[in-house]
Amino acid sequence: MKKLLLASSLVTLLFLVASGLSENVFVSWKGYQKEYSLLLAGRAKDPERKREARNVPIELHQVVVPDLAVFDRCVTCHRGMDNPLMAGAPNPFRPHPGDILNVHPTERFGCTICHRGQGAAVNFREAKAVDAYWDYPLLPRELLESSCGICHDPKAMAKTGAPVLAEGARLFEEKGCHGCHRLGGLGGSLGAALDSAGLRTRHQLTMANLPGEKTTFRWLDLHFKDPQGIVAGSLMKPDYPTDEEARALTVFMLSLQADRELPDRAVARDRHRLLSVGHDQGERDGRTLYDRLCRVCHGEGTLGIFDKHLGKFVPAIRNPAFLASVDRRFLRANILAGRPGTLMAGFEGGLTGPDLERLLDFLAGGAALPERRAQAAAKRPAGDARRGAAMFARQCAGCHDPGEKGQVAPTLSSRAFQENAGDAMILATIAGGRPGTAMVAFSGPGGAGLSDAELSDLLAHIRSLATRRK
Amino acid sequence: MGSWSEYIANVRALPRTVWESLVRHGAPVTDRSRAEAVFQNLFLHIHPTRVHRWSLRWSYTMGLGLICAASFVVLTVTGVLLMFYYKPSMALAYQSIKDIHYVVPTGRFIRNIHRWGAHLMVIAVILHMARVFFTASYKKPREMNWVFGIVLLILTLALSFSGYLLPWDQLAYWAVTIGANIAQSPREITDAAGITRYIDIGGFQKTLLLGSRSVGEDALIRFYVLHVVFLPLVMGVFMGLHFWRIRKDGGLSRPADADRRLGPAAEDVTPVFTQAPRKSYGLMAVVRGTSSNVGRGPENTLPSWPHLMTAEAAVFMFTLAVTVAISFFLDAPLKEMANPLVPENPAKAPWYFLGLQEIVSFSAFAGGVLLPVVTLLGLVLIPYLDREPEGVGDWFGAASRGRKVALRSAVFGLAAVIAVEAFAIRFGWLRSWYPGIPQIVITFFNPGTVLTFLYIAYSLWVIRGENSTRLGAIAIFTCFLAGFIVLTLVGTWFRGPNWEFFWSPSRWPVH
Amino acid sequence: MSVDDPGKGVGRRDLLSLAAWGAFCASLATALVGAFRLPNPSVFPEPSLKVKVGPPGSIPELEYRKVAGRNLFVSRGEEGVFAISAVCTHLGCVVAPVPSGFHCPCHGSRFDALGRITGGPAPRGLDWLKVAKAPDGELVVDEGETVPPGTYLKI
Repeated sequence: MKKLLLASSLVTLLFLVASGLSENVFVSWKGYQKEYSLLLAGRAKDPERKREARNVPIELHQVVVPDLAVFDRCVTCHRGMDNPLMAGAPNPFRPHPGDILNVHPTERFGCTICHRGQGAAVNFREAKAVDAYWDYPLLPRELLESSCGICHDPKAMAKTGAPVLAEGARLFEEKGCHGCHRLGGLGGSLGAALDSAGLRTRHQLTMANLPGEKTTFRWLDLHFKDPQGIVAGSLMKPDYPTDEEARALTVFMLSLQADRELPDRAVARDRHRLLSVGHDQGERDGRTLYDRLCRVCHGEGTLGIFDKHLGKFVPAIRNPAFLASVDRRFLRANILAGRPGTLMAGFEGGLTGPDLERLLDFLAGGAALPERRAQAAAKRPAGDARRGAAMFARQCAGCHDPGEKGQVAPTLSSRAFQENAGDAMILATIAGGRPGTAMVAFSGPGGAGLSDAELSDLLAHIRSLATRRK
Repeated sequence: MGSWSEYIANVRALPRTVWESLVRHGAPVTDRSRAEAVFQNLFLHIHPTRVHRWSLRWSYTMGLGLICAASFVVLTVTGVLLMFYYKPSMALAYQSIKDIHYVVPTGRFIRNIHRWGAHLMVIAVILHMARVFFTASYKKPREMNWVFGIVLLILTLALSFSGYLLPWDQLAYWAVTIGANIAQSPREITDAAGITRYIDIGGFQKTLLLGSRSVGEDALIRFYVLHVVFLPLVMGVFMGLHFWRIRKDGGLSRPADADRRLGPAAEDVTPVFTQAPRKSYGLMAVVRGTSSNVGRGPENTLPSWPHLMTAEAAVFMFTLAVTVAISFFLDAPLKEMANPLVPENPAKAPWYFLGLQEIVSFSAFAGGVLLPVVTLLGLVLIPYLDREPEGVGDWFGAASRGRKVALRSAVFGLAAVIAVEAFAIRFGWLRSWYPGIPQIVITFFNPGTVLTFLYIAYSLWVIRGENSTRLGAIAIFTCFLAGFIVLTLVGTWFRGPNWEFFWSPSRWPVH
Repeated sequence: MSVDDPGKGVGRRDLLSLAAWGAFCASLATALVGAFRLPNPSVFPEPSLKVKVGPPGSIPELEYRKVAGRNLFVSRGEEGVFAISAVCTHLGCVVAPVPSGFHCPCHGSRFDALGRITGGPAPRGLDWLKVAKAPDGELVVDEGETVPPGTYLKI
């Protein structure tokens, strides 16, 4: 028993002493501070300053900014941050490059608000936090501009300090990302809304296919270059951006932090406007809207295209024949609610009323597009839905099969279609087809030769689909 | 003049007189002064002045009870220290743990000791319970102390679990979210009966625990108060009761023939009495009944000072040594800050609840309420259902039958749990075959209840076959221990994202 | 044999006992030292003691301006800008400006317009704080650094 007491006590003593040593003696920041004090003494001009430099106490330093919840201990090792004497010294002793600290003094903003990383840590590995339990690892230098966008309007910074960020914001609009992604109140709903994309953590992204370090910014960069390689089955169109473009887009994505709560004093005034009216501050005409929202799938919109990536026919929405068969009400409903059964997702909430009307004006292309097209004047005999069903199964189901999702053509049973497509429009489309799409004409010269009675039967069947819909 | 010299002498004698007023006995070199060293001291007087040699045998107690108590002391001291810096609020809790980790002097080490010490205490408490059971030390007159022991087990788990939330990281947040929903699981029953609107026990329990609908500020402060004030106080009371009952029940259990088996006393033991006392002394004289020492001579006892003190100090330092060694090499876990929008997958409860979480994956009520209640009730009832006086103070009882039954039960218990688990993992359970099956069926028919049934049936069969309640008790205790261990291992190592089966965590899909 | 006999063997202090109990005490003492280090923080959780008080032109001449959120006054005399701490040197109350200077409400210490002690229990005059010019032209007062009374920053 005495032996156990002796042995246990000695083991305890050993580990207590070892723990004391590892905490107080073998810590990297103390080494850095000693090195700094020597460097500073070497660079000091007069003996008084040399003595001062040598006697600097070795202690922890931190920047505390209560309203930003910042406790940054980076300055424990980065001692030369505001000391011009240390110019050209090796890191971590170099002064902060540029003059940004004049406008954003460390004591008011801290370090991690721009650089990210774990400010609480007092060793570099955990401060960098790539391989640690920390949501926001240290940003590589080339992505730092993203942090300007937390408080500033990216586009306003093209000439003042953040050209890459501004370029990213421009590319985002130019490449039609809004078509699927909502940002600042504009955009579709096929992809994820991106207002707080910069706040996503690695646990919110599919990291399985990302080689190397699992960081959000590496994910973004590689995802822009090869969406399907990172997220199998992603619908995102590969755009094959250059390295610079991918970097700019990554920087822009990281800057999107709408959900982040910031004190008023820290936020530039243009951010508030940015969050409410979007990155182009609400000034957009029909053409611009078309380019940002529609073009990415519909192209110029005059010819129907088979999109190899999506594996779908994309209707020609600016095709005169199409426009002749539809009215504003139909288009508006389809844009807002989307077309079930297709990849056309609704823009409800992603497009303001005035913007929508401007877009419709642009689609009409100067031609008069009536609010409601008059119903066909001639009263047709009521069709037989049973006969129509047989015909539908033969001629139409191949593309329009109402039972399955993912078919080539729109689902005709959907509420959006049934409520917004008039009888006349349906008949005209079956009879005349949709030039430029897979929808060919089913009557008339060159068509499949359906008679008016048969058309009525089909219409009756199509209308009966609405009741079957659950 | 006389007063003056007396005054000078008093000043000179000051150290000695102060010491003598503090310690009234002389150096503990005689049996009397050694006894005094114990009973004159507030902190030691819960000990007997002399302790039986059987109680000091390592092979008998393995010091497990002392390890539990030592862990509690270590945890109390480190816990109080951590309270200097910990801030129980959603906004500050995580940051304060980071501060403790990175910049508080000795903070990281002390937090490590607190975390690993807590795990060690849970293990020690379970092992201590097993020791007491297998040496039949729960028998008369120690039934109630066994029950107090069960209360201490529950308190230990509650303390550990309530501390789990405090760091406010992802691990904590999701483990407690799961725990709170298990507390809500009686709704499975009330929902099935359609009476949740009137009697919502589950909802009440969850609200009581969280003070809100989800884990948030109120839950944090509740867990904090439970962890640092309420549960430690209750724990202290029950520990006092537990220790006091040990003395009242005549010290640690030992076989009736312990004196004979120990052989003659060592040479340096001073005989105290020439014959066994027929009755107790002092106050005891007016109390009815016989003292627990009646009929037992103190000849095979040793003075507590220094023998018991050395043993206790040794166990305390052993516990401390193990804890600091682990704490030096391994940092206590701390994941990302709690984020209600990003669930952990898999979100696991603390390890000692993973056996239950395994059953919870079939039915929250069965795993979270039914089986724990049945198990605890069974444990409490053991000393009242098995009242055979034989075998006290010997591992598995002196006869070889006990050892055989324990071995057979271990084999049966392991086989049953592995078979049921393997079946459920390989073929699924009712829900995978009949998707529309009502939950209430699974609540009462799932791997957990099936195992419980098997174990109870087996032990009843042992009682009939061996004609011994003690052997039946051994059978069911061993089976449950085996089931607990296997289910805990499965939950810990073989369950991955979406609670799916994996042969090792390295095969988890990277998310 | 009586219970008071220091019998043979009893009380024998062998080397092993001494070593064991010695190591026990030593490791507990070490643990105690570690535990006592904990309450003494290695870094204070307060924001920077340096505070910007505006460009030199905004500092009032021959009167005091209380800096918002801080216990200090700034003013400009003929010799330049200076800052005086509003914390009484007696027991740390905050002094109030009165026509003759400053007056501490807690125990009645009185100071003249330049912070010199004129009455009451305070052991010395109010502290003067270091004023410096930041790169962007604003003045910065460092609450953590006192300077000898009468130290002005030339404008």
